[in-house]
Amino acid sequence: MTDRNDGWHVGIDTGGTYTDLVGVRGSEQRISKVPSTPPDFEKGVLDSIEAAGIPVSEIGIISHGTTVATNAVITNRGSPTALLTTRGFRDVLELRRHNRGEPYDIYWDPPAPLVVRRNRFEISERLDYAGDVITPLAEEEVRLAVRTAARRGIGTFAISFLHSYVNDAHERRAAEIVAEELPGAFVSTSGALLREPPEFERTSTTVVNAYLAPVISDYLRSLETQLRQAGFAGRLYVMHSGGGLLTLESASRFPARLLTSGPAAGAKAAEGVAAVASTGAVGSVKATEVLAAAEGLDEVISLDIGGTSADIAVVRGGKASLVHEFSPQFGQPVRFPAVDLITIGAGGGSLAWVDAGRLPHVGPQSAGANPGPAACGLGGTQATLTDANLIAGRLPVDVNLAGGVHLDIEAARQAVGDFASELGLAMEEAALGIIDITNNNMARSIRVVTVERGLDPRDYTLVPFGGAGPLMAAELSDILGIRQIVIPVAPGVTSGLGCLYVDIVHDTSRAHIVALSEADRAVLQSIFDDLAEGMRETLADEGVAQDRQRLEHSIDLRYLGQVRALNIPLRDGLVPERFQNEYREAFFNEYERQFHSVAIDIPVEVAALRVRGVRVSERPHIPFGGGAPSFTPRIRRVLTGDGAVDAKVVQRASLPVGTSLGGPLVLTQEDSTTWVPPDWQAEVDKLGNLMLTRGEDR
Amino acid sequence: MNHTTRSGAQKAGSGWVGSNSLRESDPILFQVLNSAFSSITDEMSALTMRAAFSLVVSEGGDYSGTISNRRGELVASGVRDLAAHLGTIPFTVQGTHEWIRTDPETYFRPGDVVLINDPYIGGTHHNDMRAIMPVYLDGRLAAYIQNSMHWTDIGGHVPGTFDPNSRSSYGEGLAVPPIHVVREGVIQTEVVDLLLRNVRMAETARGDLLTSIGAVRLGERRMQALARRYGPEVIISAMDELISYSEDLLREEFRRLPDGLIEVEALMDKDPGSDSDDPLVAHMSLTIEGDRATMDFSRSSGPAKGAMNSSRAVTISAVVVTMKMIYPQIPMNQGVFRAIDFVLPEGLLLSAEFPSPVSGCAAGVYPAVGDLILKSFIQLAPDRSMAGPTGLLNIVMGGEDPRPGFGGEFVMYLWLEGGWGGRPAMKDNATAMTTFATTAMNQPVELQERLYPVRFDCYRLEPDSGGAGWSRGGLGVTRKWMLTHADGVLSDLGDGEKFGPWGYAGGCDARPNRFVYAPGTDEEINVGMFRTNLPIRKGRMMDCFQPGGGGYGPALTRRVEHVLEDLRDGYVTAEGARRDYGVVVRFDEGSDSFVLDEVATAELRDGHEEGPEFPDKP
Repeated sequence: MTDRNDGWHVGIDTGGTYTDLVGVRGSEQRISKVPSTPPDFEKGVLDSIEAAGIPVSEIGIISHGTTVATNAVITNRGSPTALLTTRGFRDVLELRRHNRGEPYDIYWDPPAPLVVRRNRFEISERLDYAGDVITPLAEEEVRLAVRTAARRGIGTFAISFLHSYVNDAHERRAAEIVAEELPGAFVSTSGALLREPPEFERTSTTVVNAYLAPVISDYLRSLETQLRQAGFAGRLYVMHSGGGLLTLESASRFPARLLTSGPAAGAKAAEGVAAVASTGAVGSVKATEVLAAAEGLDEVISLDIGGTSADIAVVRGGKASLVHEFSPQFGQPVRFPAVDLITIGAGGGSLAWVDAGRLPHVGPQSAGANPGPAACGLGGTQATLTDANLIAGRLPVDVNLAGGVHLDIEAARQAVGDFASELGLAMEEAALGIIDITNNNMARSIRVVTVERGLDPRDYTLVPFGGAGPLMAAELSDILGIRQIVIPVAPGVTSGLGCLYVDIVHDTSRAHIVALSEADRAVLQSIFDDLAEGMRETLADEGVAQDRQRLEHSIDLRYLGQVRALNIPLRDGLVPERFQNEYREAFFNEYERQFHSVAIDIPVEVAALRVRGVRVSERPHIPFGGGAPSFTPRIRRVLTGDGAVDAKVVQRASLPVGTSLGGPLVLTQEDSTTWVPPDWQAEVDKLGNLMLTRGEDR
Repeated sequence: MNHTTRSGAQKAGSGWVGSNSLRESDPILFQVLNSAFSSITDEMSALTMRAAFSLVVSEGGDYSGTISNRRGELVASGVRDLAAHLGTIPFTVQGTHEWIRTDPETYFRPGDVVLINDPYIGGTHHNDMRAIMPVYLDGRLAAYIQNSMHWTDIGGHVPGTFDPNSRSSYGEGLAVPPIHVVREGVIQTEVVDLLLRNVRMAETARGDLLTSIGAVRLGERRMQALARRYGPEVIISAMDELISYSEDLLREEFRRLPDGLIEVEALMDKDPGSDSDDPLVAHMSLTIEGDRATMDFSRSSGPAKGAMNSSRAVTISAVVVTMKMIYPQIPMNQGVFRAIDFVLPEGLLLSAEFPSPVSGCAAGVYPAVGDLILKSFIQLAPDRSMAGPTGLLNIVMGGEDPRPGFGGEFVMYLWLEGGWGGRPAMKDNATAMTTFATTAMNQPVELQERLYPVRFDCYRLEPDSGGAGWSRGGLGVTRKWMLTHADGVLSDLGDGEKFGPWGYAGGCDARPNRFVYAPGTDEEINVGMFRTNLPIRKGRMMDCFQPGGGGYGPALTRRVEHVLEDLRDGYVTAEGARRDYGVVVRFDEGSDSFVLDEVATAELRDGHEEGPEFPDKP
C-alpha cells in the first residue's frame, strides 16, 4: 500500500454544485474548490487537481467521494434493467411496503419503480424459509426471459428470489444462464449483496445496484483513463456510503454502496477534525492513536450547510454512526451500511415564505445557484437565508467571496422587506426570524439523528462546515444546548478533507438465531472465527498488509419475540466464558438508554454476528498557515435576538495560534464566515481549528 | 359530564392561559413549538417501531403516539402514526376524565401510566391498547402523552380476538377501563399479570406493553425539557393556539366552498349477526354555510347485531382523518374537530352503545364514513378528492406450529392492500396502497413464512382490477397461501364483497372483494367476510383478492396511449381493454408490442372523444 510520503494524498469530493479538493504531501498542503461539471463529473475532478496546482504524476493516492450514484437515481439516468423474480412475486418491487411518503395527501404519488412491470420476469422456482427446494429452477424460463429482455435492448439484470438469503443456489444458477445467453451482461443477485430478509428491501437493493452498475463503472473507467492519460500513476479509491474506501473493482460491482458517498465524506471529516483537534497533535497521526487519546471530542455532530441543503451526521466514540438502510428516494431502500445522516432542504439559498394561515416558513424550496439569493444579484427577488444573514450583519458586505461573488445589501433589504410586510413585522425582525426558523428546522433534524437514537445532543461537539455552517453554528448550538464547536481550518473544502480521513472498510455478518441462554460458546466463537477469516482474505485481496488490518466484532441481540435487534459492539472476537451474563448486561444497558424501559425477566435472543474489517490509514493534517502577528478589527452592527450589538470583524487568517477572543465577532475567510455571538468565546487551537465555547448559561 | 372533572379542568385553565396571542406576538416561536411537538411525537414513533415485539406493530405500523393538552384535546401526532387511531384520542382522554369521577390531578400522579382499551370510553376495538401518561409542569397537570398499539390478541375464543359473530362486547376479549399499570414510576406487576393471563402470545404482549411505557415516558421527558426552556405558560398556550390555528385554516377552506346541502350514503354488505342480507347504511347530510360545516349522520342504520358497529369516537375519527387527507396542509389536531358541527345521535350503527360488538369498526364503518367525506368533497372540491378507494379485510389465522424450534401456538394477521380511486385532477391513482386513511404497512412474505407455518403462492397485482375511467383506479392485489405443517383456524372480518369501490363521473366501480378456500377442489368454500374459526386444512390454498380503486370519468374517454401503456405492463389485459375501454388490439410478436385496431376501436368507442391529457399536480 502506498505510503503518503510516496506522493500527494488527494481527497476529492464531487458534490452537485462544487468539487472540493484537499491535497497533502508531508508538510505541504493544497486546497481547491471548482464547479462540478454534470453530467461529465470526471472533468470537475481533473479541474480541481489543476486548480490546486498539484502535478498529476506526483499523486500517490486519490480518495474520491462522489454524487454520481445518487444523481443517476434521482434523474433516472441508470441503465434499463430487467428483474427476475420467483413466480407469483414480480410485483414485490411495486407493492413496496404499501406505505406512503405523504400519508395524508391523496394527490401524492410514489416514484415509479426502477424496473417497469413489463421487464419484471417471473421464473418458476421456490425455496421454503429454511432454504430447502420446493420447486426447482426452470432454467428454460430464465433463458426465455433473458432473450426477451435482450430484444428490448436490456443488458442489465437483477435477480431476486424468495429466501435466497438462506440459499442462493437458484440465483447463482440463473446468473450463469444470463451470462451464457447474453455474454457481457451485468448481473446482480440478491443473495450476493445481502444475506437477510425481507424480500422487498433485498430486491430493491439488488435493483438499485444493477440499475447503477453500468453508469458507475463507465464513470469510474472514464475517470481512471483520463487520470492515467494525465500521468496519474497512483491508486484510486472511492468512498462508500458507510464511510470506507472501495477499490474501483469493488465499486463497480457494488455501485449501490456509493449512494451517500459525498455526505459520508463530510461525516468522516468531522470525525477526523474532532479527533485531531482533541489531542492537539501536529502532523500525521495514526487514527487509532488519536482515538485512543481523545477525551470528550469523540462525540461529534457534523453539520455541512451548502447552498440548497444541509447534511447532518453523528460521530459516536470517534466513529460516524451507521445505519443499515438508506433510500435515495421514497420506496427505494438500499440495505448497505451508510453513515447515519439526514439531508434537509436548509441552506444559504433556502427561500422564506408565508403560508395561508400567515405563518412564516423557510425552505425546503431553494433559490439554488440560479437565481440564487436576492443579494447575489442574479435575478433572485425572494428572501433567502443568505439575505437574512446579510441584513443581520453576519455576512461581510465588503469582502469578495469564493467565485468573486459580491453581495448587494439593497437587494437583500428589498426581498426581506417584502417578506416582513406580509407578516406585519419590521424588516430586521423578519431577518432574525428567518435565521431562527432555519436554526429550529435544523435543530429538529439534529434531534432525529441524536435523540431518536437515544443520544443527548448536549453531550456533543458540533463540527460545522460548508459555506454557511460556521455562520449558523453558535445559535443552533444554543437551541440544542451544545456548548462546544470546532470549526475546521478550511470549512468550504472540508468534504474533500474527509476523503483523506477514510479507511478501507468491509462488513460481513451471519444470521444466527438462538436464545442467549442456549447459545453455545464454541458455536459463537466458530462463527466469529469464520467471519474473521473471510474478512482477512477480503482485506488481503485489496492489498492490505496484516499489520494494517483491524477487525471489529459486534453482536445483534433482542428480546425473544422482538422483531428488531440492537447492535452491541464487543471488545474483541473472543467469546468470554461468562458471555451470556456479559452480553445480557450490555444489552439491558443499551436497551434502557434507547427505549426508556427495560425488563430483566424476558429472555434475550441472539440474532446475528457481525465483523467489520478496516484498513487503518494515517490521517493527514492540513498544516495551518499561521496568522499575521497583529490585526486591526473593524466594527459592525450585528442583530441578535437580544438587540443589536457592535461586533468586531476580523480576518480569520490573521489570528495566531492561541488567540482567544470573546464574541460578538464576525470572522471572515474566503470560503466561509463564522458568527460568534456575545456569550461565546473563540480560540484558535494549535492546528488552526477555531474552538467556540459557550459561556455560562444565560 | 361529571362536575368534578369540569371544575378540575377549569382550575387548571384559569391559572395558565394568558392572552391568546403567541401566534400574533411571536409567530416564529409559535412555529418553533409547533415543530417541537411534532418532533416529540416522531421520536415516540421511532421508539415504538424499533422496540415493538409484534410484527403487526414493528413491520405493520399499527400504533400511534400523541400529545394532548390538559383537557385531553389532541395537539400533535406522529407523521407515521396509524391515522385511524388519531381521531379517537380526545375521546379516550376525555372519556377517562369522565370515568374517574375525581380531579385528574388527584387521579394522575407524576410518573403514572394508565392503560385503557374500552371502546365505550373513547377507544376503537379491544385490541388497540392505549397507555396514557400525565405531564406535570411546575407541579401542575399540563398535558397528556398517549401511545396506542394493536395487541396481537386480547383474549376470547378466536385467535387474534376478532370475531364477526360475537353478539356483544363480552365476546370481544378483555375490556380494560382506565387502570394504573405504573404508579409514580413503579410498574404494577399484578395488573400486568392479570392482562397477560388473558391473552394469547403473552410474551409478545409483555414486550409491546414495555414499549408503550417507554414511549410515553420519552414523550413526558421531552415535554418537560421543552417547558424548562420556554416556560410552562408558553407551552400551554402554544398547545391551545395550535388547535385554533388548525380550526381557522379549516374554516377558511369551508368559507371558500359554495353554501348548500349535499346528501351522500355508503353501503356496507350486511349485518353478520342478522339473517337479513340487507346492506347497512352510513348516511350523511353535509351543510356548508359560510365557514361552518354541519355533518348529520342521523339517517344511518341502527345498531347491528354482529360486530359491524362502531363507537362514536371511530366515526368522528374517520371524518377528521379524511378531512386531513382532503386538506393535508392543515396540522392534525383538535382544531379539525372543532371546525365541524357533528349531529350523531347515540345508539346508531355509527355511535354504538355498550354492549354492542365493535370488532369490525375498522373494516366497516371507518372506511364507509371516509367514503361519505370523499363522495361529498368530490362534488365540492373535485381537485382535492378521489373516487372510492379499497376497503379493509382483516384475516387472523391461528393454530399450533409444529416446526422444530418454533413450538407452541401462533396467531398470524393478514391485511391486504389495494388501489385508491381515480382522481379528477390527476393521473391514475397509486396501486397497492394501504387501506385508505390507515397508514399501515404490509408484513413481508419472507418474515411471515419464517414466523408462521405458512407458504405464499403469490402476492401480486390483479390485472383489470383498477376501476376503469379517464383516470383509472389503482390496482387490487391477490394473495394466495396455505398452511404448511398443521391444520388451523381462520377468522375474518371485512366489507366490500357485495359493493366494490365506487367510480365517479362516469368512471366504473372496481371489482369487489373475493376470498375462497381450496378453489377448484371438492372442498372449495367461499370464505366471505364474516368467518369465525373456519377450520383450515394444511396444504389447502386460500385465494384472496382485495379490490382496486374506483375509476373517475368515462372509461371510453381514457386516452388510447394510456390504455396501450397499461397493456404493455399487464395492468390491463387485451380482453379488459376491449370490454372496459373500447380499445381493440392484437399483440405483434415480432415488434413485441400491441398494435391498435383503429377501426374496431372507433366503432366500440362510438363517438366518445379522448379526454384531456392528465394535468400536473394541482
